[in-house]
Amino acid sequence: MEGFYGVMHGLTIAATPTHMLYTLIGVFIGTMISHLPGIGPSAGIALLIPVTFGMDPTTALMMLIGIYYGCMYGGAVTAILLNTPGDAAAVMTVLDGYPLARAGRAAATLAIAATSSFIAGMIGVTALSFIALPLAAVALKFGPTEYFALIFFALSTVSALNGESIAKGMMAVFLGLAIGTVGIDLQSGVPRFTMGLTQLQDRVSFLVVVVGLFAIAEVSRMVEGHLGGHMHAVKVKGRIMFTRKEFGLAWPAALRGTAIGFFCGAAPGLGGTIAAMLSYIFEKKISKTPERFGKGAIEGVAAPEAATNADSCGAFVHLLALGVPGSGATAVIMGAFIMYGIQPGPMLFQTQPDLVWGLIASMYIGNVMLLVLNMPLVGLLAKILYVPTGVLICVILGIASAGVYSFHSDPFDLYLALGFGVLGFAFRKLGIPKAPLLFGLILGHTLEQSFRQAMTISRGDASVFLRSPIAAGLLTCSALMFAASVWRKRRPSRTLQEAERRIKGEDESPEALLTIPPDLGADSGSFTRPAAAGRRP
Amino acid sequence: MKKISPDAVLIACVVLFAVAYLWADSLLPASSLGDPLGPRVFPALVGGGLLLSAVLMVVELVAKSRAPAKAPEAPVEDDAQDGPTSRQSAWTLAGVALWTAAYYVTLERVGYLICTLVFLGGLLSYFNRGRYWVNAIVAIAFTLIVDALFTYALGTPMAEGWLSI
Repeated sequence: MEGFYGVMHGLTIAATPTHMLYTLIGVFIGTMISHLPGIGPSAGIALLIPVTFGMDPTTALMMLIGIYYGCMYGGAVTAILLNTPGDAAAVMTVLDGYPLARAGRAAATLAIAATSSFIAGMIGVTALSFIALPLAAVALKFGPTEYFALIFFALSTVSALNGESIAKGMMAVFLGLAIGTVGIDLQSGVPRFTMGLTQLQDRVSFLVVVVGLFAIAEVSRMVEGHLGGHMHAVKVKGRIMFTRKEFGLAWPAALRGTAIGFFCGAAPGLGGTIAAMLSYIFEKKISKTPERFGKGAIEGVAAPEAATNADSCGAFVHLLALGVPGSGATAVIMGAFIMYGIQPGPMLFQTQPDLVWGLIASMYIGNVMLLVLNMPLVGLLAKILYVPTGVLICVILGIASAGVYSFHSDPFDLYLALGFGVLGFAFRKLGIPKAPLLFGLILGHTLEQSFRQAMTISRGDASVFLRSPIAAGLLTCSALMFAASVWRKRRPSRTLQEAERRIKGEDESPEALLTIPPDLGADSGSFTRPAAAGRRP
Repeated sequence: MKKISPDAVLIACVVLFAVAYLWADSLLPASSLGDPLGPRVFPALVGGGLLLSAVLMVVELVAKSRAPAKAPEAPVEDDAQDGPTSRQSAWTLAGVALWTAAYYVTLERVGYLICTLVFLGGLLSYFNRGRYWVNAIVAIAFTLIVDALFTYALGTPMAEGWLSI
C-alpha cells in the first residue's frame, strides 16, 4: 500500500502546471530525437543536460526522464516508415513494421506501436512503484561490503553482456574506472593522474565524457552515412487507427512483451535491445502461424515495442532503489542526478520522497502525453525525417559545443569532449561497447569508496567480502555471469542467431539496409543504417 | 606485407595505457591516516584489470585465428564502405575534426557569435551544398538562439571575444 500512497503523493507533485509542462517538453523532445537517425537517448539526454542547469532538480529530472521514454516510444516510427530503427532497441520492430507499412498499413502499425508502448509504459511504471520501495528497504541494510559487491556485480554484468567480446567490454569498464580515478582523492586529499592540470583536480566532468562519447562520436557516424545512399520512406496515409482484429492480436503480445521487457530492464546490463529480441523470438515460438513473422505480423510489432518500453521502466527499479543504472541511457540519467547533488539509491526514498515519487508519477503522465502526441500527430512528427542530414550534423555539433562550454566556461572542456569524441569513434570502429565505460566512470567513485571503507572496517582483511552472505552471493553471481557469458559466446543461442539472420536477411530487398549494431544490450544508443543512412530523398 | 589486425593495435594501446597508468600510480604518495589502502591501491587494481583485459583479448584473438574458417559474413556497418566512399569518409571526418578543433581553440578569443557563425557556415556549406539561403538562415538563427538561451535564459554567458570591445 505504501507504493500506492507514494504514487498518489507523487501525482500531486507531478500534476502541477510547471512539472506537466516540462514533462511534455521532455517527451516531445524525446520523440523528436528518436525520429532522427543518428542520435540515441544517451546522446539526446546528454545534449540537453546543460539546458536544465538553472532548473529545480525535480523539474529538470522530469524533463530528462521524459526525453528517455519519449525516445523509447518514437524509435518505432523510423523503424516502421524508414526500415531504420530510431534507436538500437527498436531493431526488432523493423522486421514486421516495415513490411506492414509497405503493405499500406503504416498508420495502423504506428497506432499499434504507440498503443503497445502505452500499455507497457503504464504497467511498467506500476510495477516500478511497487517493487522499488521494498527493494530500497532491503538495500538500506547494505553496508560498504555489500555495496562494493553489488556494484562489482553490475559492472561484471554490463561488461559480460555488452558487445561481442567479453574482453572488450571488460576493457571498457576498466577504462571508465581509470578515468574515474582522475582528480583529488577525497579520503587522502592527494591529486591523482591530473598531470598538473587544475581543470582535472575536480575529476573528469561526466557531461564532457558523455557528450564526447555519444553526441560528438555519433556525428562521425552521421557523416559516414551522409556520404551514402538514399532513404525510402513510406508515407503515412489515412487515420492513425487499427482494426479490432489487429488489436485482438496485438494486446496479448503487448502484455507478454511487457513482462519480458520489465524483467530484462530490472536485470542490470541486459538493455532494451535484448528485451525486444527475446520478446520477438518468444512471440514467434508460441505463434500458431510463425511463418507470418518477418512478413508483417502485428504481434511482431506489438511485443518488441512493449518490451522496449517496459524495459525502460524496469531499468529505473535499480537506479532508484539501488543507485545502479541498468543501461547506457539510465547511466546518463544517473549522472544527471549526481550533477544535481542527488545520489540515487535506497536513501532516496527516505530523504527525497517528493522527488522520487514525483518522478514516478510523472512517468504516468508522460505516458498519457506520449499516446496523445503519437496517435494524431505521428504524421506531422514524421516530417522531421526529411530534415537534411547535413543540417543535423551541424546542429548537433553546435549544441554539443555550446552545452559543454557553458558547463565551466572553459575551452579545456571542449578539447576534452573532442578527445572523447575521437575515442567514441575508435570504440565504434573497433566494436567496443560504450556503455561499460560509462558505468565504470559513474560507479567507479562509489566502488572505490565502498572498497576502502570495507577494508578500513575489516582492518585490511579482504576476506570480509566472503564473510558477508550477500556480498559473497553477489560476487559468486558475478563469477557465474562471467562464466555463462563465456559459454554463451562459444555457443550462441540458436534463436538469437536466427533473429540476427532474419535481420541480415532483409538485405535481399533493395530498400533494406539494416545491420545489427556491434553494441547490442545496455548501450541503447543510436542506430544508423550502414552505407545508406543520411541523404534524404 | 601482412596487414596488422586492428585488435592487435588495440591490445598494444591497452597495454601501453595500463603500464603508463600503473607507473603514474606508483609515483603517488602511499601515506594514509586510518585508511589501510591509501590512494594507490584501487588504481593499481584498475591497472591490473586493464592488463588482464588485454590478456583476455589476446586469448580471444588466438581462439579466433584457430577457429575453422567460416563463410564470409555480410558486411557489418562501416566495413561495408570500402573503396572511394570509405576514403572520402575518412578525409571528411578528419576535416570535420580539425575544423571543430580550430573552432574550440579560437572560441574564447574571437567570441561565440562570430566563431560559431563561421564554424556552422563552413560545415553547412560542405554538408548542405548549394542551399545558400537555408544555410545562412540556419547558421544565423542557431547562433543567435543558442547565445540568447545560454546568456539570458540560463545565465551562463558565452564568450564575447572581439564583440566585448
